[in-house]
Amino acid sequence: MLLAAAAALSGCSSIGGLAGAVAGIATGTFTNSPAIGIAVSVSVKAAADAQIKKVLRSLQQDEQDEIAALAGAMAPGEIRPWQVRHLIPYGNNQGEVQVTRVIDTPLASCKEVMFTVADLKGATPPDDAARAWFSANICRQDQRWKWAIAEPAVERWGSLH
Amino acid sequence: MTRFQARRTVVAAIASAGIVSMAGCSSLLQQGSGAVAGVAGAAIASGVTTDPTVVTAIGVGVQSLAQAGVQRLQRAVHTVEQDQIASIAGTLAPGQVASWSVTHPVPIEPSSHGEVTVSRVVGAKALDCREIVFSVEQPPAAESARAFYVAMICRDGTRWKWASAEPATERWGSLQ
Repeated sequence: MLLAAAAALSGCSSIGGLAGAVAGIATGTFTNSPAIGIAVSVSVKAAADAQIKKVLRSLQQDEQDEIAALAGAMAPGEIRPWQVRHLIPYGNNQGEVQVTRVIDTPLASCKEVMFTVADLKGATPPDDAARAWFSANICRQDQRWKWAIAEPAVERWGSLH
Repeated sequence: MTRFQARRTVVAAIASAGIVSMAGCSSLLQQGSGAVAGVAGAAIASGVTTDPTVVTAIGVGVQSLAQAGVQRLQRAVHTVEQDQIASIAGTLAPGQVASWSVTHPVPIEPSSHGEVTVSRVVGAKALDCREIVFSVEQPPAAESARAFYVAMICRDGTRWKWASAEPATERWGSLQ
């Protein structure tokens, strides 16, 4: 019941610690050794964290795949709306996307794209220039277009890692 | 067997239970190595004090150090890979393709290889940078044989370094 309440919270990514604590408490009643309680709780937290991260990662990948598939069919200069709708109603985003450059190399076909993420709670800005645009790259892999931004330089990882 | 001896036996059993697995599930590795270090720390501390609050605090402190160790290893592994790809791409003219490969002594990440090419030269007075496109060979079970990525490298003196910046914080989501 505690977990169900936690799942209803919008701060999805903090569930891992709670699941770990519940497991630790449940096991602790059968032993008075703190070592076992800590070990079990930590392992459950790691497993729960990995599961939560997997779910959040797949939501993010759906959004990336959606934008990439749309932009893959677009020519530079076109602007089209995009949207993603997940089975779990969390992180359903939408906005606009445009292709700014085609990157053609002997190794792969890629594109530079710019996209916005609409803020549903805020007011729509009156002109295009006021929206927050993000830049990204997509590349064609076999027949599909995929997000192609590489990881940042390690010197810039900071607290991301 | 006294209670203290029984506890030490249990701790040893947990430590040798093979929590450390290098299969790439780094959250388990972080938590696992942290758990082993934390549990061992707690067991040692319990010999000196019987206060459970103090014992737990010492265990958690050791876990943070172990997690930091795993993160340092991840950074080292990615730095090697980035430096290799950058230095190879630095020798290429736009349109040329070359191969790259790295093998990690500690297999926290699988060894990888692929190809790299330069798509664009970007520069101003003191700026000598290139946009590169590189491929990473995927394991046989993956959807595609190769995955492609785009990055930026810049020349710092004679060395070429990875120059792609972190994403905008609005896009960090669950990255952090």
